Amino acid sequence: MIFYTPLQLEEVFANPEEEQAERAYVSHGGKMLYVDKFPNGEYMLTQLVSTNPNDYLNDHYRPGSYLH
Amino acid sequence: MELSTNEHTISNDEIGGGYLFMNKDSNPDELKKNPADSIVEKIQALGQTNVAETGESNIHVLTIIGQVEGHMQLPPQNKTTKYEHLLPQLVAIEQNPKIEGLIVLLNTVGGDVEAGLALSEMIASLSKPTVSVVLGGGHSIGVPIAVATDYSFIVPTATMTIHPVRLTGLVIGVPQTFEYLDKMQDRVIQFVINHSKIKEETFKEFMFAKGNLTRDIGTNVVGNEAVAHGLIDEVGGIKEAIEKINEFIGEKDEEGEVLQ
Repeated sequence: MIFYTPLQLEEVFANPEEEQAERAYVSHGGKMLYVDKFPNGEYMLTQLVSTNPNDYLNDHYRPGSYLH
Repeated sequence: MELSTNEHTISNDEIGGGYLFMNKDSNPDELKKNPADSIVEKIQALGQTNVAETGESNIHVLTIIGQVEGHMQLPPQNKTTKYEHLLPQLVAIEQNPKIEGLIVLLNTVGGDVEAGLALSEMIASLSKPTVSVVLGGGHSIGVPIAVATDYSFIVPTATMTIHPVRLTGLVIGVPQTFEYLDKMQDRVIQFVINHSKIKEETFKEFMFAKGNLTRDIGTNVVGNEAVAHGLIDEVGGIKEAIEKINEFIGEKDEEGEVLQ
């Protein structure tokens, strides 16, 4: 892979020591959401992927919202 | 209502058949009953108490943040912009008659060359007016993405790092490897000089300069400097960007009227 970044490659490819929460992209209502999966079956929204600026004003798609 | 993930699909039964978002404030009636809870949640999530609401927008925003991720999935500590998400969005923007313009916000440290060039070519070939704003940093492969738009802005404090392309993974030490890398770099250089006012010599000078980046080859260009060398069109922020795109949309409307 050809990579073009001023960051050190070790920084980009280093593996974090502690295990991170399981994350996944899910789609809901035609919008793509990046969520953290918890063992108890809950999902927390970490990022909304949309080009519509108004989606970011929607309370439902607020980072930190819980999906059960 | 289905929530599909890469691995499996969650049906309504699994999530109890209720509305997916079970926040107290997801139901307007409950919100009225218990506004304090909602405010606490908002402060926890966003660090603010109020989020403004508006109607439909004719200008869409594409954010290029963190690493531009291409053929390889990067480790999870990286914040990434995935091209497989953005390419269909760009197609949707081109197709949707309600969308009249696109603003590209950049704060990126670069990433995959082919993914970056793919995004740049997509943005450059949109028929709708496009304006970019470089905030914070628009480094490496962020440079072609920033210049791909019809008009580009950079905030005075933003920087753009221009440096030679790098190769990761197994490298075979033969002259062909160098030539391959050189060709890859030429694609970046050609795109940038074709879509901005910077001269090829100046851009190459920046790319191979010594002494600017402590242990590396390249140049870090700050706001005004990027404009002075013609890499970016103008110093400005979101106000200028919105003004510019509205001006472009106005021009396009006039053209449309003449044709009719």
